Amino acid sequence: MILVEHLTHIYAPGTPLALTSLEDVSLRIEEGEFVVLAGATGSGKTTLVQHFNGLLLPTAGRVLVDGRDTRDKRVRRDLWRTVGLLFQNPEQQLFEENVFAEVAFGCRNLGLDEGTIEIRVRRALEMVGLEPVRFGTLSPFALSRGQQRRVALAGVLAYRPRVLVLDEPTSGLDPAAREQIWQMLKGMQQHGHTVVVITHHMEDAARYADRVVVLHRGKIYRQGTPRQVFGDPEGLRAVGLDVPMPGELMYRLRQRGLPVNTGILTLDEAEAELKKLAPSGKACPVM
Amino acid sequence: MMLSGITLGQYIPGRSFVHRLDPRTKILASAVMIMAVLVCNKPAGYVFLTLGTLLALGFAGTSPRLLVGILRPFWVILTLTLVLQLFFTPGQVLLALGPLHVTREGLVLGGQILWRLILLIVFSSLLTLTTSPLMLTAALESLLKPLQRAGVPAFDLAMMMTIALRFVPTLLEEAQQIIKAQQSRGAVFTRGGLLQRVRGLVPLLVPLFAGAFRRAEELATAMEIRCYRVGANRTRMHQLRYDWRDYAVLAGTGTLFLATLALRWWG
Repeated sequence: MILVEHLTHIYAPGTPLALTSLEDVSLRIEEGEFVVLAGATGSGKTTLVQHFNGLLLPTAGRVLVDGRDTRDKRVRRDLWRTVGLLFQNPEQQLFEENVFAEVAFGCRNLGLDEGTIEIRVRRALEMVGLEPVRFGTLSPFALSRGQQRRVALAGVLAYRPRVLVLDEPTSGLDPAAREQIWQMLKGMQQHGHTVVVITHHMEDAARYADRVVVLHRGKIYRQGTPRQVFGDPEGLRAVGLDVPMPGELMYRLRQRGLPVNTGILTLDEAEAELKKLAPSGKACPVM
Repeated sequence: MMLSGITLGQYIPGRSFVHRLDPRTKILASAVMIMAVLVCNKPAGYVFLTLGTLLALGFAGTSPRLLVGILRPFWVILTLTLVLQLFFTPGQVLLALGPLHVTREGLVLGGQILWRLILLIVFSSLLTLTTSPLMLTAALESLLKPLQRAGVPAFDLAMMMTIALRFVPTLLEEAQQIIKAQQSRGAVFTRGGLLQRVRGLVPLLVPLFAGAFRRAEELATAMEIRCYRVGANRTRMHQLRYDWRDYAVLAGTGTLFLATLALRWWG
């Protein structure tokens, strides 16, 4: 699906402000996969995803989407139809008179007819939890930041790109909205979409991702299933990431010499693991 | 449409001779050089001014690449100026391309104007390239202070100018960001007819203005929170002081200006 080969990206090369953002990154994202990109601020996550839809071009190396090279101008022109990228703080890109037109912008650029647009926009608004009837006619500038974020998200969902790439879609949202968005993304995956999400919420990453890719200073630091990645909390903290609480707990118990498994992601799993440790102990209801 | 690398009015930190000059010296020297460029009308004058410019670039540690980066945004206007002068100045015909004639006078005039523009751009860029916005305000304020008696709000003017300068790169960066975001959902900025292109600007301009207003409001609040008051008598953390370098540079540019003036009158 998306193949990144020895990608290096340097901003403003040859000037005193030159900055190497990515260095020799190779990565493969399969069709229908749910990938979370993690890493501290400045680790190159945003730069990497902007290569996926051809907004940035490799300084060295190449990026193939469906086998087509993004360095080809003709490929790049239509890439947005396949790879839908939602920027960080997308509320800053809103410009239409009302929410409906805002969400329809991508569909209009696709050249869909009004009837289809209407259906898709409604559907997209429902998916992000905004009632089409109530919100459709409001000005996007009159909404709260969280609502604006969802409008922007709906704008990508509405034109249904096969790959969804979202740069911190849940930052600044409350836990309920965050949960809703992750659920919705998981649903998109089940409908056959490939989903790539940048996030700092490692608990969410652990729950929803098929694969977690950790970037550190422009290089891939570690990648694998959430279990593999979060099994070793020590290294993750060193590159500026959180470790989900259950995994952290198991890791510390192990350090104290208890024979527990550290590849633990959820509280339920942690509970089961602890019961194994002390089968005679009284079960303490979690939550 | 892709604006990358060096942006207009950006400051690039450094330790060069020019970086370390008193900012007032740099403002004055730039102003004098710009005047010199404007009064110059003799080839010898241009030679002097060009040498002066190269010297200034050398002392500022500017790489040729950076120089190209400075001039690149202006290439359309530069080419247009040259072409218009080439073809539409009456005089001795050198080359005829159908109904268009390249004249000797046009070549001379076009070349002169082109060179002038380049020198002007280079000098004004050199100032912002080597002087931090903070130093620029300090200098402007200090230079405008004598006018305060005459009712010129020196401090406010300096503050306004700094804020404007400060936000040029920020807004350009934001524009780039918005362009990318809109391209990601299929907006087209660089193709189609004139009408389509103008309409295509709406998705860029609306968020850009909205962002600028939001920023302005946030900045005002942030300044008020820190007890900013118009006309308050402030002391400075870094006092500006001229030293021998500044006198040397001022003397040098002054001489250059007088030389071009002399050439114009008596050359």
